[in-house]
Amino acid sequence: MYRILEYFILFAVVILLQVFVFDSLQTGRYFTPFVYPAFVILLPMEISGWLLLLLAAATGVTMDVFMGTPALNTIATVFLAFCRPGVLKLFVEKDVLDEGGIPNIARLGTARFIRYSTALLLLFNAVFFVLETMTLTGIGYTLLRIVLSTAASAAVVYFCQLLFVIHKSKI
Amino acid sequence: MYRFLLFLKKILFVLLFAVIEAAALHYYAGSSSYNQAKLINASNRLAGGVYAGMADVRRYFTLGRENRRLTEEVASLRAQLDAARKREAVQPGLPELPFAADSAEFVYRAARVIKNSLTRSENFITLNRGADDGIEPDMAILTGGAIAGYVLHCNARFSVAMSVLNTKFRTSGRILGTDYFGSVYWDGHSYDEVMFTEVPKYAELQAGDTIVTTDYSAIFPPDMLIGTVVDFELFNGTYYNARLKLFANMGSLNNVVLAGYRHREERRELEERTERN
Repeated sequence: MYRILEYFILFAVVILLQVFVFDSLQTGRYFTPFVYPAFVILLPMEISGWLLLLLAAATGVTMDVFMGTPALNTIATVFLAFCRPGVLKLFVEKDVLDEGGIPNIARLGTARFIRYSTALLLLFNAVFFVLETMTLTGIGYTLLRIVLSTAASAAVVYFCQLLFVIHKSKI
Repeated sequence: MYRFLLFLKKILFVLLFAVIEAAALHYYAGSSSYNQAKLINASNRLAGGVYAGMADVRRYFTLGRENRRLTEEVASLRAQLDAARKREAVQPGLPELPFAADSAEFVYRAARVIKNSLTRSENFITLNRGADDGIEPDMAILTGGAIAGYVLHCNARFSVAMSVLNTKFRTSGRILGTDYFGSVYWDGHSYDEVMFTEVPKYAELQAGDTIVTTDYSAIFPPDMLIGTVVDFELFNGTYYNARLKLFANMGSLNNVVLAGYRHREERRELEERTERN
């Protein structure tokens, strides 16, 4: 594996951002920006499946301990990781995929990166909020939360990914 | 052989996914609010100091409002004290002040909210005081005479409490000035409103009615404010369901008072023994 240190820093940054910034911001019931899935979204494209799942599980468990959500973050993050190869295949051309590397705007292009990350975040938010609500009454309300939170998450993940690109170009 | 390995690799991915998700779902299904509070308190060992520091910074921006609130509370307590003194003067034979007798049933502690979630279905409040400061599970959290939650789990330095804004929160409420009761819970929608249900249809419920805590609770002192009725409807012609506007401003909890019921253990023991028989 390469860039282990950088991914380690990214992991720490997204967890700290989520715990101390986005979870402390009182953004309202409809609006929960998730930044930490950025870690799983930005893992190298050629990563092996089992490692992807294990890293996602580790991320989820860390967030669960901080948020006090028993396994909720783990379930959603591992689901995101499970869907990632499929979503990548759907939005990214085969030659880019084969080339590998970090799936950021430099490699995928802005439009494709936004589509790729938003699709994954939508799946993540859907699992998270449906499980959290655990009821089908007020499904419209849950859907609204999913859509708005996905939009907010996509925005913060986009900025997070920019940091990663700037950071890389400096080295 | 290569194909087989590829197949194995694919299967491994799905299998691993299924195993992790099954374990996580199993844990999720079996978890209680107490487990969650314990989990948060475990992370407080690491992050608690940071939360406290951040709360300190935030506190500076609300000092003015907080001061005003405290002054108002002092004024209202003074008014109550004067009224009680007057009553004593009118009836010198009165053996004990009723509120004094009540207050002896509870111990009070002060604490500050250092973390307070609002955005989830199950919200928790983290306090900067723990077991070392005399905080115990089941103490009520009061802000300006209104309920905000109760303590679930304490470690030495921090406590985690269930917020009123937690879909697992339950208590009973009484319409002030009557003897009609109902149950209070949060439906998970708005963070300044809770539901007040199963109110007997004979209660003459009106918008604007004040709902307070009852004597039944082993957690909340009686007659603490919960909320005022916003609107209500008759359900099935049998009971009322009402929406309450909370008195506690959950979005800006800061200094809170904790009330612990002294005879909780005795009471619980007695109730359990009676139920068994």
